Amino acid sequence: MSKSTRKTLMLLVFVLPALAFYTAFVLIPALGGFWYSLTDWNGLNPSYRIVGLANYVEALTGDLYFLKSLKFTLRFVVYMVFLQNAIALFLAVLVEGRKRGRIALRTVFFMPNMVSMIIGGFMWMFVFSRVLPFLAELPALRFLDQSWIGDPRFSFWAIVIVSLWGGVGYLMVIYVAALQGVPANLKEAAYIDGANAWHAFRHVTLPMIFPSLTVGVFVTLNSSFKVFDVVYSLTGGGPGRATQVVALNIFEEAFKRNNRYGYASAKATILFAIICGITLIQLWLMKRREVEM
Amino acid sequence: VRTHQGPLGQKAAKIGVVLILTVYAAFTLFPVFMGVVNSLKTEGEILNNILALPALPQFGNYKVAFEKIHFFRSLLNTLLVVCVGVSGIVLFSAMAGYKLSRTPGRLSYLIFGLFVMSMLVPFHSIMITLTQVARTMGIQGSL
Repeated sequence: MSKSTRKTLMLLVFVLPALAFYTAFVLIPALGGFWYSLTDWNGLNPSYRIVGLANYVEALTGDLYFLKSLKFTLRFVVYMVFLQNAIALFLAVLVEGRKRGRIALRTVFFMPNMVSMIIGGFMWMFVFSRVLPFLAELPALRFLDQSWIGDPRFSFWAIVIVSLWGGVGYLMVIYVAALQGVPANLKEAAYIDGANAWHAFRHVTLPMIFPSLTVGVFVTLNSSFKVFDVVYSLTGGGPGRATQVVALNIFEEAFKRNNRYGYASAKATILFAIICGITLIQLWLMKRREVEM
Repeated sequence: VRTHQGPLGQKAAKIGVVLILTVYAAFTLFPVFMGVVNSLKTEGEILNNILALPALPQFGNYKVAFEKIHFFRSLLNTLLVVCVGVSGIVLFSAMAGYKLSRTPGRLSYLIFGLFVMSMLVPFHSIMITLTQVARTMGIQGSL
């Protein structure tokens, strides 16, 4: 056996267990989902017809609620990608700059990740529906007296706030790790050359941690497009369908309303295509800007 | 944060940093704190003053919750899933990651791409067929 075949064989042996589970529980279901998206299967009936791309055409041209949920999700993604990364990076810089209490602060900020977002959503539901109205009785906090869940203008922000609460800590840990990897002598050299704190951050630290920024934006893009549990536990997509995100729209299509599994699969495939396209563009754009060390 | 603004400016910056970090920590802990505090109160106390600490901590709510969700039974289920899941993930992904990172070439790159792509697949595109796979493999409802 030649050396390269043996190498390939070893690779396959090591990869096989993971690949087997991956194939059984992700790959086959994903391909199956794609197959059903081409049919009119309703989940119960053993027989179904192949309808080609009709589901896709219907979702993209005739389904107002789906298009609305797509628009809502896009708006959510834009705010989340920007806010989550900005706040996480800002906090990471502040935490890293402190001598004392670093570990305690990191633990506190990371804590929401240990709570499932469904539970987090319910806890915030309690805050929004009971605690904030109570606080708003104080004259100084009158501005809190909004119907956070009932009014779509505010429930959008309620969802953003809860998602930030759950997501910032994780990114912050990534950025803290990246900041720790920036050699101190580079920053010192910048200071000696007369840079102030902002200059040193902008021209030394930021380029050095840019690979982590790529990861951070990738993670937020990906998770915000698929957001489900926060919205599900907080507003349930309501009032009406005003805060319905794509994942919730798909879920309802499959399990709540008409059991149109085929049609729901088509919508999920559209969501996958959008996520794939946008993250690929993002990775390509940001990888180009990363500096080589 | 290092600044070049003299001692007074430095002090102000430091206080600002502490203030921001404290506010964010409070924001992070607030819902958890509210949950814990109010879980120890009676419904009447919650209606009366939602922010106040319980006059006398009482664990009646916990008792009801324990019984309603069959806590020990679900804890056992969760533990089982965690143990099997984590050991499987650690073992298999470490094996795959080790060899993938050490073997250059097109095949290794392709497999790596395949694994990474799974991060992008929305759960909703696999959930329907996933239940079918579980049913054919006879593992549905076996926990």
